[in-house]
Amino acid sequence: MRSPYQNLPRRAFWRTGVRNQDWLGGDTDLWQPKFEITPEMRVMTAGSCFAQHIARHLRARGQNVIDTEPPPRRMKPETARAFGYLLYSARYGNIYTARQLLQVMQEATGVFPRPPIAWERDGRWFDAIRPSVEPEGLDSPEEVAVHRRHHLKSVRRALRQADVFVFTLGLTEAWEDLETGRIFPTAPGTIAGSYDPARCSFRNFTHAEVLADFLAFRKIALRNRPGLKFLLTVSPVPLTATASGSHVLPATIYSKSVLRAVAGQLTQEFDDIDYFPSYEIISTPFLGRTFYDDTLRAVAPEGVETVMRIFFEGRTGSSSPEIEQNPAAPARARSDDVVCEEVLLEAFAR
Amino acid sequence: MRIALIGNSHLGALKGGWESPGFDKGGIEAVFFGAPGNGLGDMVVREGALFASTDESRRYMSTTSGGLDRVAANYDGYVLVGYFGIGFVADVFVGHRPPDHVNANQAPASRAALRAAARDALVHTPALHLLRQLRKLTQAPVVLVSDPMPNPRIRDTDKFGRWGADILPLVAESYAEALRTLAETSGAKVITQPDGTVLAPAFTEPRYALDHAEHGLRHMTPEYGALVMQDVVAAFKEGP
Repeated sequence: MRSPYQNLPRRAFWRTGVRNQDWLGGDTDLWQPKFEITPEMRVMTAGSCFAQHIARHLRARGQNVIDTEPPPRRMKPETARAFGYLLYSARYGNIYTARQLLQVMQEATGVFPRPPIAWERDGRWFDAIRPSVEPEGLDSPEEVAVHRRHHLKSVRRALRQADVFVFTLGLTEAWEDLETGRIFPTAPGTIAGSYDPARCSFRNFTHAEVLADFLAFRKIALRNRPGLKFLLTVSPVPLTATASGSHVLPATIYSKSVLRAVAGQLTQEFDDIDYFPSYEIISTPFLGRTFYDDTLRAVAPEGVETVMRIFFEGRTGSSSPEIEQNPAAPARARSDDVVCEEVLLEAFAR
Repeated sequence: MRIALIGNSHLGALKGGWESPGFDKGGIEAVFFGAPGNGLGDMVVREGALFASTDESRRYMSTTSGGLDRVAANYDGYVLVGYFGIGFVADVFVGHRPPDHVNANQAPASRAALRAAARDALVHTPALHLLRQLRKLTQAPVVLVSDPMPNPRIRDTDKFGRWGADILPLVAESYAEALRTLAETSGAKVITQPDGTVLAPAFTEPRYALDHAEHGLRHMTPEYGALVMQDVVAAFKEGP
């Protein structure tokens, strides 16, 4: 008698693939990359908070990570990160949703130019699309516009030289400017600006919308960089708060499920899109341990290191290389090292 | 009171001032340890003392100190001369400028980011490395003396290229703020360039500057050194 399961590899079975797996040191065979990412390939990174870990570890292990908006000379890495430098390939801050990614790329490549939106706080001005990159704000809306023009040029330059685009899908919930359709990474009034229900509304994107947004982004990206490949991850970081009306737990599971399903469908349908299962490593209970810290939101350093070890195991086919000593990239990432606007929402928690 | 002065080539002017006729040393005995460039800026702690890291630096150290091969931990105070100055802050502005000063090869950066980078620039210096090394050995008072600002003639040379006249006031302002932060956070006294020697925004009055191009137009006269050493003596007299 023959069974289609007879000759499957160990990873295909729960007992050998999960239950008896040494997640902290073994050869997990968790990820079988669709395409090779060699150290020389130029990687562009973007996404939600968790993507910062990925970008930092890639840099620390010698990957050629694009940075078209480097910090001023002599600025310390921790200072640079507070000003939005060294987080990603350009200084866009966290991009939580596929719609925000699409809009940034539309602007950067000239497909859909949009005027900047400046938010005010105590007489200082912030770019509403990346309010966290200037913690003290800028002098005027005009200065916001100058910085944004330079930023968009930098995004375009990064895209046009990238070989691989690594993107971490973070959220389905977002706030939209009703007049322009612009998606903000944070609600107005969180970092700057003020919330006006007549001008800004809550969005909770569906599977179809996220899928369509990513496909529209892919089209723009490939037009600017033919041959570009895409590596998706889903952020395992739960929502700090939901505006959906649901309890935050089901709201989180909805959001992550949609994103995971979109990533899965994209990976099935396109040879140039791959998915790395960092979400599964961190957020499922099946590894028999928690990789979250006491907040049950932030990923503990051990979790980040496990993710990156498995990433490099998949990429190189061997155990994880040592992290190079690089002053710009501490060997052990601390969970509080990432810059995450969401933590500001904590101040609003009752 | 016995103090050790460890420094780069700017130590020369201070030594000249210290030994100039009539200089009031205030009862202080000084031992000088010098080497050009960053020769002593990377000294490390070994056997309870500071040691230079290269043979060449060890030779300079011996020559300048009268035969000593290490900086011992038993001085009553230490002066770190040079290893930080306005040049470190000017570096911040090489590739980034505020939008109203930016040119084609530079990126716009906010004034806040540039000020923060300037503060970082003065923290990541050989001077602070030496201070940390010293603190492994002793809690004796430490005075930091900045590199002097350059001779204004430097404006006529290609060395001036990376500065640029329009940005100098902002560089000087950022430097002054970074110095204040350094003084507040380093645990050491910071002696900046004596007021009367500064030619605004970021030069040394020509009468205090050596005028030899081979010295890079960055080195000062013994008269300048004497003014700085007056401040050093005063700093140790004042106590912590």
